[in-house]
Amino acid sequence: MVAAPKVSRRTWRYALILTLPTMFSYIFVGIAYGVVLQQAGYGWPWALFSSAVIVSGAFQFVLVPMLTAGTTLLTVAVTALFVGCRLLFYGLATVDSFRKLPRLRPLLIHGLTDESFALFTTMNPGPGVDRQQVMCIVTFGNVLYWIFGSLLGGLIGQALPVDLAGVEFCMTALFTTIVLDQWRRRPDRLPVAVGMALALLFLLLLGPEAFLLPALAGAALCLSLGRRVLAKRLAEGERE
Amino acid sequence: MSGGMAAAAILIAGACTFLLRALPSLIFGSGRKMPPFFSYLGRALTPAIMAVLLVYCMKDSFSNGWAALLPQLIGVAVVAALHLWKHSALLSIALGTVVYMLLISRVF
Repeated sequence: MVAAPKVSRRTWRYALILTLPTMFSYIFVGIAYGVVLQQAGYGWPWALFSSAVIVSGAFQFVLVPMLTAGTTLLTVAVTALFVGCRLLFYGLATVDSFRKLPRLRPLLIHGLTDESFALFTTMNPGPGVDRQQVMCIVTFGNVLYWIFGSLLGGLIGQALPVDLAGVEFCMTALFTTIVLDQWRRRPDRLPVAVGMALALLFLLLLGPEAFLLPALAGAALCLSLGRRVLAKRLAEGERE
Repeated sequence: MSGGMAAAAILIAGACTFLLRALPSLIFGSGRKMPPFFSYLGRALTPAIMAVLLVYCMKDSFSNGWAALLPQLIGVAVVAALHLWKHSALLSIALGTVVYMLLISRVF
């Protein structure tokens, strides 16, 4: 921690305990990612590189089949923007906290993930614990867990002699759990249904190579048109 | 994809993702709020996109016939059942993947 002020033991303790759940899940999902990437023909240096550069589990899993299929860079960029659109909020909500650490700020912004943000919004530090410092430790800790897990996965995939055919299903499984969690929040059901229906429709019409961007754009269009109805529902759902 | 192209794809994806993370603080600054349309779209679009990505994960099995699709559907059902029962994403993902790997190597 270069220019950062001294961090008290109590702050370290609070922050590290706070990240215990993400430590487990990031290292676990990171290992899965590293293995999948290695099986796709991109060994541990690629896992290390992509996890450090992108820091977004959901998108990195989607990127693997794109790398093997030779998808155009434009499709990669547009998909990254769509998948990451939720990150816009996290940036906004942490502006003031990160501003106090100008030197670390670009790194903190770069490492802002779903899980780090969730920890910020739920944490409740007691006296003697510095909130800003906790946010920094949580952000850096989570990024390091993620990179470490990916690297480990790449190495494991390389070292394991057993046949790992089908391991890429963990990506389908990950998205199944994400979609299920969203389905359980009532106001999110309509967007989930819209996305699912459009994806299946365009998959049938255009085939597996060409359906992704039309489905993403179609979902954005439908939800923009349905704003009147849906915005109200979402706002009500948030208050519950 | 060649190594150079793959590196370019990763760098571009990284740049786009960083842009999304940095944009609000660059444009809207402290205290101000995002225009309501954007905050609505970012909020509403995310669940829709996750559903699209779930279909994207399974895209190739749809065109490869029942022998490819069936183990995927069984795997998804196992993950969903476990997730509804135990509420542990890690457990559902790990067991679901093992079930799928066994299905494609032993059964189908």
